[in-house]
Amino acid sequence: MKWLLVALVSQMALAGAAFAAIPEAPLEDRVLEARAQGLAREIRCVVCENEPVALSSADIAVDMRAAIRARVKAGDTDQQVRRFFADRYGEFVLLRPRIGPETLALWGAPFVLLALGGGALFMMSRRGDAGIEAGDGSDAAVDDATARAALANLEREQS
Amino acid sequence: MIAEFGHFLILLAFTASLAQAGAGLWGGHARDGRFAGAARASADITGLACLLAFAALMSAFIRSDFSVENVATNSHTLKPMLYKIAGTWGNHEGSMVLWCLVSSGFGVALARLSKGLRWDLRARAVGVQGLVTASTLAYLAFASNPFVRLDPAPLQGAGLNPLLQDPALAFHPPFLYLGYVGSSVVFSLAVAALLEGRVDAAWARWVRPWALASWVALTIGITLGSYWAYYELGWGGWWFWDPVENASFMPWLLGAALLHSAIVTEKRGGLASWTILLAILTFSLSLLGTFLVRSGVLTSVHAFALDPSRGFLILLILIFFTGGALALYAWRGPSLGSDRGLFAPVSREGALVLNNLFLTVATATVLIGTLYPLLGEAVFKQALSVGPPYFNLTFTPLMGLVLIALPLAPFMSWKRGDLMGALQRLWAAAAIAALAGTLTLALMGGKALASLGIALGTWLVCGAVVELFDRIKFGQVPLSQALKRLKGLQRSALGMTLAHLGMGIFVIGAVSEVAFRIEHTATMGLGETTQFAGRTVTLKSVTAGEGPNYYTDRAEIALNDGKQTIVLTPEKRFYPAARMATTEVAIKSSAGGDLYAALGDPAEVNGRTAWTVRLYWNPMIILIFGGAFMMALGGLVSLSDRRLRVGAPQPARKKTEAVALPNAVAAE
Repeated sequence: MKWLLVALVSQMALAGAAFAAIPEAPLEDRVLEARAQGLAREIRCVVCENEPVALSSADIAVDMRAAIRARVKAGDTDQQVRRFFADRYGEFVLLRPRIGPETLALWGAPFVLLALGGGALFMMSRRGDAGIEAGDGSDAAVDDATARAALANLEREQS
Repeated sequence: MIAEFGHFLILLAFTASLAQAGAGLWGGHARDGRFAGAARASADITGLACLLAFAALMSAFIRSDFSVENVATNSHTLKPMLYKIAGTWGNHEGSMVLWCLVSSGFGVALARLSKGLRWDLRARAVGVQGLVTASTLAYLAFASNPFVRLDPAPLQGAGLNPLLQDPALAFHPPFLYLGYVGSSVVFSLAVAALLEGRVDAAWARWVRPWALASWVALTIGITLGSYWAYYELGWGGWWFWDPVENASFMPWLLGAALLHSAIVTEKRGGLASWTILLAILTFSLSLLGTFLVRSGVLTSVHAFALDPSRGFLILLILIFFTGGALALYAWRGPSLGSDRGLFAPVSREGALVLNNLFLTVATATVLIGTLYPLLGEAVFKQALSVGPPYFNLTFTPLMGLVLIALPLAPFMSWKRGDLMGALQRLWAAAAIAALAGTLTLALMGGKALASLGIALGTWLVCGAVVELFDRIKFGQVPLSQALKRLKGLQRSALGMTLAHLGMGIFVIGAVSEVAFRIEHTATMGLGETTQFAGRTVTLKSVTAGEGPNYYTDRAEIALNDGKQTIVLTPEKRFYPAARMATTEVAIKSSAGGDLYAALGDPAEVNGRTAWTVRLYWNPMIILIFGGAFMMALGGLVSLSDRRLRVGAPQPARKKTEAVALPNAVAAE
């Protein structure tokens, strides 16, 4: 991990020199600026502790924001901007990890879990659905004999 | 001398908590009342010793006794008194002392206040709680002693991290710990029930106040932390899906699932083994959170007191409790056999099960997203980041889906509900929600997702109001009678309505903030202007100043919208003791939202000094925090329900009221 940071920092120091003199200024075009701000929220600042470049005042983050604006202004699509950074600094800078073999489990898990859980519940609801009488809508609803007895016992011990 | 005494007290507490564990577990197992009594007495000693140890540490902080290493590293004579006191738990060792104090205090509460609980179950629970306390005390005594002396003592301390010198953050950790450790009581009760092999409605009624209290404390703690991040970090955001935030969010989510499943166990005797499993996992996630924050296995902005070797010890504790409890669950769980109480899919039970399905999957999603970078590195040898976009694309739709169903649930009967009937009663809420969504779409620039979100929030808010009106028969009976019904409403029902209402308010706030926030960064020299959110912004001045323990540059920024001028004064502070700079943002709140300004660094640009100024318009942001606090308030109101005051009989007589009251206080 450390070698990565060192490599990134030295590389950025070189790349940064090109941007350093430019003060931070939003793009004229509002639509483009909104896109640049959105992208700045999903590209990670390479020297920070898990912060997107949009939320860091590190010099490199300022430079990276400028680079995002420059790419967006030059007509890159969002995907191209993401690639631009991923190609230079590794997949690690993408806070929206690319869908691929190594992230299949990540992106698939929520859906698989929901499907499994939902399926299990559906199977369970199939058995013994008939014969359930409608509830009377009241709140004091313990009608199970054992549960009622346990609660009564609790209240007796209490008093 | 006081510090040495403090160290002695920790060792004493450790020994006493071991005795508490042994006596409690044996007393429950052998059904021997003498051992149960011994466990109670040991719990008292543990609690008292932890309290005194905590007081000893606090006194070292108040007196700025820099011969204690912990004080020297984390305090400073010039620090305001509030932060000297808060410094006691604002560091690694001190926060573990607080953890022990809360854990042992809950042990005392379990032993002394839970009179209605079967005594053998209680003895076992006190025993397990003793084991939980003992593990943290051992960790404290042998791996991170807060009372280590320095010789020679330094003349001045290094100071508390200035970012942490803030009222919201001073009280953020205690609430989080009440929440984390509160879940350990639920865990203890669950393990005790497994040991006994019996789970019933009475057990669930015992668990609910603890689960509720712990969830309320977590809600308050997380909200304070989020509010702090909003105004202290200076980026206008309030939730960053950072590992440390996720660490506290996971037990909150699963705790919410637990609250709902325990209702089914209490009222219907169903879902018993599922409730037990949730109780175990909620505490495991609390421990996991502690491990993630302390060990530094995941990089985070908020992580403090990183130390891999200490992290390893917490991991061992985590494995011991989670593994042990799950093994016990696998062994005993199937024989609990109380998953009775058949119900149709469309019913109150069905709605609560749906809630549990989604909350559990959502928790799992947050867990996977948080830990995946570790997996990525270990399995695929690739450094990966999982950030906000992932959670926004997975967690948010999951929660959105289940929230659509939420307003229907209170209208469902137990066993078999009437979906059409519920929809009929909610037609007005649905109509207003549709209207709100359409208006948002038409007036706010055609953002479809945001409009759906606003419609969802409105649906939740109106659904909660309709549900309340329905309960008090508002409009069906004369107003005076409706108010009378409102007064006579069960507190737990009122609490539920408030919490669901808070959820709706939160959704509206969160969607507005995310979708309609305006951010603008400008580099400005003195007297220069920029355009922002329909306003002309002028940097009037930047003046240097001095605070009790910091230097500051204070900017004066005027925002003119053509009618009136608002002046914001963001600051950039430098704390020499910690050699750290912080941003003090300036916020002007109004009903519609917050104007938010942060001052960045100055630089020489084009021959003049210019400052980076960040400006944000955060619409409806107050609803985010207001909604969250309202959820907590709902929990508190519910907690004050007489039936939940730990099984007081109804109608309550004078005598039981007197017994019941301290229970409620302790549970809070």
